[in-house]
Amino acid sequence: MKEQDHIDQEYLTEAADIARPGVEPLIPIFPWPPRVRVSGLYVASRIVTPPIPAPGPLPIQPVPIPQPLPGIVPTSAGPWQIEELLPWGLLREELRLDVDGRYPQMMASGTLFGVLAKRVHWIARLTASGPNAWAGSIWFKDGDVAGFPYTTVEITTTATFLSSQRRAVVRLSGGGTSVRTRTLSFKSPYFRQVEFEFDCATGVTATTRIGTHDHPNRPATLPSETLSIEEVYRRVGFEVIKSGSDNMVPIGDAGTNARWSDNEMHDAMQVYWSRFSGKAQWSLWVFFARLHEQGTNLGGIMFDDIGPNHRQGTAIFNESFISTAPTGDARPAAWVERMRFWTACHEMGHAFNLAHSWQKQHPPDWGTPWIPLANEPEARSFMNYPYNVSGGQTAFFSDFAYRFSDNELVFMRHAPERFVQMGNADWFDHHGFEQASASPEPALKLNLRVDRAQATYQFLEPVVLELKLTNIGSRPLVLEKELLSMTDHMTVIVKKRDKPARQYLPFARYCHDMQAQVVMPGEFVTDSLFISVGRNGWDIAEPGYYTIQIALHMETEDIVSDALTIRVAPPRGYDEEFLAQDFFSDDVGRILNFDGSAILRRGNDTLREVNDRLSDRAVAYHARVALAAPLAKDYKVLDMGDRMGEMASAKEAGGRLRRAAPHIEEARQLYTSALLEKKEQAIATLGRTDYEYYLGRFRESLMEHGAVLKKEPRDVKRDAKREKNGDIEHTMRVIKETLSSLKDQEPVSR
Amino acid sequence: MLLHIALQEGFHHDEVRVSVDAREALANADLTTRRQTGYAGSVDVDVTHSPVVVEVVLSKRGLAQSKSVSVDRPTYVGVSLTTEGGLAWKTSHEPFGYL
Repeated sequence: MKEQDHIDQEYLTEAADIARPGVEPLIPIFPWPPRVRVSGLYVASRIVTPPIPAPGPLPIQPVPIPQPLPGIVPTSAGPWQIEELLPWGLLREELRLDVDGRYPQMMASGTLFGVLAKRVHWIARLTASGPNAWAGSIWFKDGDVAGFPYTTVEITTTATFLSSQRRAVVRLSGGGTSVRTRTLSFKSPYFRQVEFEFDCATGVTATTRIGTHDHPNRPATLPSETLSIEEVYRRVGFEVIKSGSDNMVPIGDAGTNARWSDNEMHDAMQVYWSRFSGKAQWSLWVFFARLHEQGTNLGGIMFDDIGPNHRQGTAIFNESFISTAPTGDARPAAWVERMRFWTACHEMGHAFNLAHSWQKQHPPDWGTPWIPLANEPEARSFMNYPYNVSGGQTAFFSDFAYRFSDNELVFMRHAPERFVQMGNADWFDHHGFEQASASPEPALKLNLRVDRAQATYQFLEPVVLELKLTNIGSRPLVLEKELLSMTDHMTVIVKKRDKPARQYLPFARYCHDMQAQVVMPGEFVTDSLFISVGRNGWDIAEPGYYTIQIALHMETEDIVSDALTIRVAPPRGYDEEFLAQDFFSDDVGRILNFDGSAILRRGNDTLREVNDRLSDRAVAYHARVALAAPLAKDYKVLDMGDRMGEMASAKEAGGRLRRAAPHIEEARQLYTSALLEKKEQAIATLGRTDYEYYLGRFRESLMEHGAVLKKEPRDVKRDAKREKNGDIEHTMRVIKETLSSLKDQEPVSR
Repeated sequence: MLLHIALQEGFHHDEVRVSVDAREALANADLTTRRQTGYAGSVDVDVTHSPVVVEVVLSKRGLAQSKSVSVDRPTYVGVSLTTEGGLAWKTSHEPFGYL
């Protein structure tokens, strides 16, 4: 949804309606004094560091939330503040304010999106409390509500015709906790966005718009206009986008009888719908055909209750009973067009999970309604059968304003997304990032790769992913240079088969100087991600299958990678099982993550044992580079003397930095063994990006400690260029030349 | 003369038997309403006299009701199971349509 600085079209239409109902004005007539429509979607998004959880699997169910500490001052700060009450980082917040515009429901609903697809959804009924101010009680909560005790909301908007400057201040209170106040920015006059695609069977014409005055039986006050299906749903509150190009579906796909079964339509949907996908999405396929196999008594159906993702497809049957006007009707052709149009809107309503007007209350064995509902058998709604009301279809259409009932509007505008969105299912188990704010046409694609033919890892072998972010759009993009190494811009999920999903939390976050780089269409940036272990412990350790997925949070959208499944093989023998007890420790995890440590001695001992006893295994490459790094250079160690481990500042404890001398020869042997002897195996397990990095460090350490290569200036220039381009072969050759030259020089310091 | 009997709203894995003048017209051991359309099943019966007695029996629910229906012209009878556990009947001379 794009922000627009304008007096929106809806406002102009309403102004005209108010001035002279049912009459098209020659010029727009504005109500006076002018008023600003404030209903719509308000958002705030910011990446917030989640607090460090205790080691162990992340809970999927809401966890009890500690009350805030006494003395915490209620904040009136923006959404970038770390949440006091929510135990998870807040990524995005939405407010749907519904107090004016078309069919205002005097409601507000909000959604707070956190990491790991956590969220809270609330709905409140509002009354005006002042100019541009509303207040009311929260009557519905859903999601991870344990950290959301609020019972009352107060909302104040800044009324300006410039939508980019429109704000809503949301003050949540009650529930025995501190007041929470946030300011959100206006994003759109629509509450949600949806895509429609209209396809037809051969020889069938879709009725997607009608003239509201084409048939004489209508409300006297009904404005005369050409009304489209898209406009009907815009008035519900959706920003409607058309997808696809209105395909023609060959009748042959329905078999020889040319009548469509549900399965045939489902198959056709998979083939002809440009947006078909086995996941929940705000996208709907609308199919116009002649007849269903049930016969002429079926005018239309939301046929898609097949497979795991329901409500994605709906159909209208133009030659069913809806094409037969009542005997003696004054305008039978207009009646039929209106009925086909009405049926399309009706069946699409089912795809938004709306029941028939008389089905709101139903037997308990049908399931649970989202809230207790009352039947509306006389409702002049798209979801009622016109011929079922008192007085039949004549009475219905004489009082029908081409709209849904208020209860239905509340549901579509304010119910939790998963209740309404097409194809939605139990969240998280099927997809880790259902709450990601992904664009249907993203400009970037994020790939997860491993440098091996099959994503199978030896037992104990750390997993290093290669991340590749490609510009798949048609325009150059400006990205932060270190975007892929800034893990606070990512949510990384690791799920072992049949186990709860865990969020990978890196040991460290890196603050980089913000440097932009231009990525042209088709170009990409890469980086590595060491994912086996983090603050959450060892996320990948035991043998089995793991699925990994990453959401990269950009300023306006989330880029969600495809899921990558890897397999960790069982231990090869007793040595591996035995060493695993020490290997899967916090010390070893930190050493591997930070490429070495001079002080985590127990972890270093374990890695030496790995190098000795499992020298032919992939894990040994990781052990060698981690052991080599601190030996290859002067190493600064904080010496706290006898007070090591006490809670005191280094200064108070008399701490001082001391220099640990390098062990160049040992480092050289470890690096040579890790990087030069079996290059392909090293790249496969370390990852190409990290392999290049370690080569560079090896070369630097050689140069720092006495290696001098005699070169012509032009060779130096050429070498620099090749190194810059990541020429592994060249760097290896330089290192080998350096090692060879060192043999003829004095021994370096030890 | 056509007598169309439609089983419509409210059925959920019900064992249903429909008879016309004590002759079985429809038997379904597992009948469920498709909620998108409000339609569960139907039967067309050619009757030669009027009125006839239509009986609907839901054995698992211990529910049985009968109704005398005049069939002087093509007649459409809709039977629904209400939320209170009873049967609701409607009679029309126009075919039922489902949406």
